[in-house]
Amino acid sequence: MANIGIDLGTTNSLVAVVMSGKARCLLDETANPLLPSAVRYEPDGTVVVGRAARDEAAAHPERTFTSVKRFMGRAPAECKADAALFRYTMDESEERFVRFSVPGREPVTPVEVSAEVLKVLRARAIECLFGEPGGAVITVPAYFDDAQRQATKDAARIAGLEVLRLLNEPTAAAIAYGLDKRETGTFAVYDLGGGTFDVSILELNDGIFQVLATAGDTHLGGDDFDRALGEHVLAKAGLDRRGDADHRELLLAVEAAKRQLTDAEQATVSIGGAAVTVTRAEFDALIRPTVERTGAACRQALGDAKLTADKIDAVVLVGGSTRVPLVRTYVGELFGRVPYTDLDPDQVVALGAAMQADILTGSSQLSDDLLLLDVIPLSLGLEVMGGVVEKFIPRCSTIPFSQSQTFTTHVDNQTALDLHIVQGDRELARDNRSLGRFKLSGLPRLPAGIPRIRVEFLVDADGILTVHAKEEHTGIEARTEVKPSYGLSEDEIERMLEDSIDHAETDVDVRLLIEARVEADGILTAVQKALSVDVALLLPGEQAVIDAVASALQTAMTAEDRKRIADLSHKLDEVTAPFAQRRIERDLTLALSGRDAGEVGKQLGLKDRTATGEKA
Amino acid sequence: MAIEVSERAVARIKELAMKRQTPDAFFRIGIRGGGCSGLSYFVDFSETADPKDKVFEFGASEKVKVLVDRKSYLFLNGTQVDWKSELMKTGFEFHNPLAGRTCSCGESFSV
Amino acid sequence: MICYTCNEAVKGPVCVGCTALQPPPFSLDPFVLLGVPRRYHLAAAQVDEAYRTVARRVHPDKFAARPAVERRMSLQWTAALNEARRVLKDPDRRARMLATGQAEPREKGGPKLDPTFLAEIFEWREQDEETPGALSELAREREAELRVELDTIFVAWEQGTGDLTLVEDRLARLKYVTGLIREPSAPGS
Repeated sequence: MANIGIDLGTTNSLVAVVMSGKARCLLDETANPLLPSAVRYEPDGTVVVGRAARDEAAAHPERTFTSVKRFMGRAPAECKADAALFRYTMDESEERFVRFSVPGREPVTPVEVSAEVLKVLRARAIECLFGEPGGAVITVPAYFDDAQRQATKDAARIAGLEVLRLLNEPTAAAIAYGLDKRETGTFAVYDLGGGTFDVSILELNDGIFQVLATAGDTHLGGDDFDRALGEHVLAKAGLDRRGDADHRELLLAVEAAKRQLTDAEQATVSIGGAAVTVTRAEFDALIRPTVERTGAACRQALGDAKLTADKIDAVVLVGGSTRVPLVRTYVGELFGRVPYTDLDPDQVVALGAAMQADILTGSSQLSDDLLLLDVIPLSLGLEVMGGVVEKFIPRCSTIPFSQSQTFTTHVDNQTALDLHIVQGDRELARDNRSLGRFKLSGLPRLPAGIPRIRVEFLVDADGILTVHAKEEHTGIEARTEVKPSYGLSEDEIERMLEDSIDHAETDVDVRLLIEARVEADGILTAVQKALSVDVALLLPGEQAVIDAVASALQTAMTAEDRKRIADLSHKLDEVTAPFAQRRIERDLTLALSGRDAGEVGKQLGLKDRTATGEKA
Repeated sequence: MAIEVSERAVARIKELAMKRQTPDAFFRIGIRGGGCSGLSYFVDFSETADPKDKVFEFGASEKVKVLVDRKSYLFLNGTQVDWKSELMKTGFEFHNPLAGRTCSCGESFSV
Repeated sequence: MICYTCNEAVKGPVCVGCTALQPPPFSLDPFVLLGVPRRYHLAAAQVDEAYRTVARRVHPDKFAARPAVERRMSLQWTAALNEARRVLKDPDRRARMLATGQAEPREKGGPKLDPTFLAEIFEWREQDEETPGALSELAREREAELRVELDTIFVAWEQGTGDLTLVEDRLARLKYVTGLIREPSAPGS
């Protein structure tokens, strides 16, 4: 089974796969690799995803969602401005995650909206690969924090995808370029998408990609260009900000104008009966403040990597927004060199993700020796006395990363301890992003100051944190109860998984369980039949092994563990393979000896529907 | 005798090759079998052909090249490949004169 | 060591017989993990080279298609390896590791500083009031002196003479003076 790479973008999403040693994006019916990340919930319960949803957004503004990546893993309080910008109605009764109201339907979370996009990409992969993909590498902005990463993983789970790895977008692009060009040296990847900006500095040396530093802004991108242009057009046309539908129409119109301005010196936006002409120079002036905001992150990344711009061997541009001429000029000046643009900036992230997905199969033709070492974008710390943050994992640490800290109690017989974990680089906890509160309970009753509670923080290769705690004197494992500040709980995800079955009847878990049982049943029947017919072909001891596996499989089929059923089916097929091989060899010998196929069919034990069969 | 690929199937193969960005790839059909689960049909694209493969061409202007390996050919000779797209079942269908019993999914048959 | 799956004797992180990843060693001594000599004088390139060699064998990317137990161990291995590299590439952490067996100071803020050293700093601050910038100037000089001193201590130690008893104190002083360099000059000047 092939692994796939997915770029889940703010504006567009793509799926790519390595075939015959080459990464390729999978296309839709119109030969387009881009799936607009737009989802419309119809009153009858159907879901429209992609170009249709995007293009018809103006007609159904209240039930169409775009750019939901901006809301992933965030709380309503944090994204009021974004919600207003996209005219979404947020359900404010929920503090931990965003929920958008949809007329005549339960509210939806950005995680569920993203899952709809992922489901379409998964279907595209199933179609082209003739089967379920093995696993998926999904890209995220390097600057995504823990909650945003977790939200992305949740969306994949709801879409029925097995996430092999979350991969940072600029790193994915560097893989695509690095493996393509076979270059060694230091890269800067400048990734300006629809809604996020990332810059990473990487070193490729001796087959190892080491990310040296990463910085960015999860709220900066081409959407901001559209907004600036939109406001300018409205002002010039003497129009006010108006209703939702008009707003969507305006956004589509200015986006088209922005694209034209990539090559043309001027473009015209028609809105509300007025036609406004915008020149390239005007556009550049409008977007310059946004473009210049990317410079600060670039300088920070260089500083963290302890490098100066002249030490960068190559600059790679990623993201559709890097087509804007001003962006290209600006990046060129910033790094003092002409950026690489030979891979399609829209596709390069998905291609890199597919390459990493292929490498994770363990049998890749691309490179058996390539290793990717990424970093955590923001420091992790604990809130200590006075609301101050004590960092335990500094930003740009190579992941996976683990760090242990020892704590003690403040009062006698204290049995619980609260830890507040934050992510960010500010001094005070309240200025950083709260990741979660970990309550360690079940501590042994001891005088104050005696317990030594060792807490291990582990950031895995996806950049996601887990916490374990143990009291060292007694060896008692403290229970860690995680209350994530933002994001969905396990129960909520379970519920969404169930909803996804209700609404689409395509949920993988149930379907795969049924399929696994059907397959297991088929194999068991076939084995029994073969054993009854050809017992003479068995080697000594072979039957005992086959029987043992078959009975284990029969037991497993009564339970719900799909993986166990599949594993045992596979095992049964495996242990019967030599026996089956002997049967086939014998039948083939018969076939080759020139008898007619009907005869062979009989020999094969087939119900024969073409008794007058042709000569084999 | 050889194998036959219906017009619908040819169109589908072309469409898939386009979507995969492998317009020149061969379309391979064959059978595989592990243990007693029986033999099953498989389809896939392949960018190279083995010298021992049988190669068939279908389609009017742009040809679709279909490969069958020698061993599979023993079981596939005379088979018609069709493409069905229905509500309950979508996929390539094999009509094999050799196989008496085809399972409901049309993908596997037993020996 | 004996492989936990096939009971063959294993040397190194991966069993030659069954290719199963072994648990990371109990003692996470960074020199042992990376297989580099226990020296203070250790080039960053040598640490990186050693790191790459081990990382290639134990990194989670190499175990994505393996059982969960190996995936977990590969995570632990690589986390330990990343920490080992961080310690060994930083001369101060490396020095403390050799002297005390730990990369970070045992007590928060490090060992108590010598009163005469602190008195000296007090004098520097007074000088800074008169001549702004004197404090960071003096701190810079002292930083260089301390580095030379540490270097001398370790040269002797690596040749088998000398001991490391002063190292912890010198590192604490070093931390103090480097803090002073960043400190803004006296207010009002």
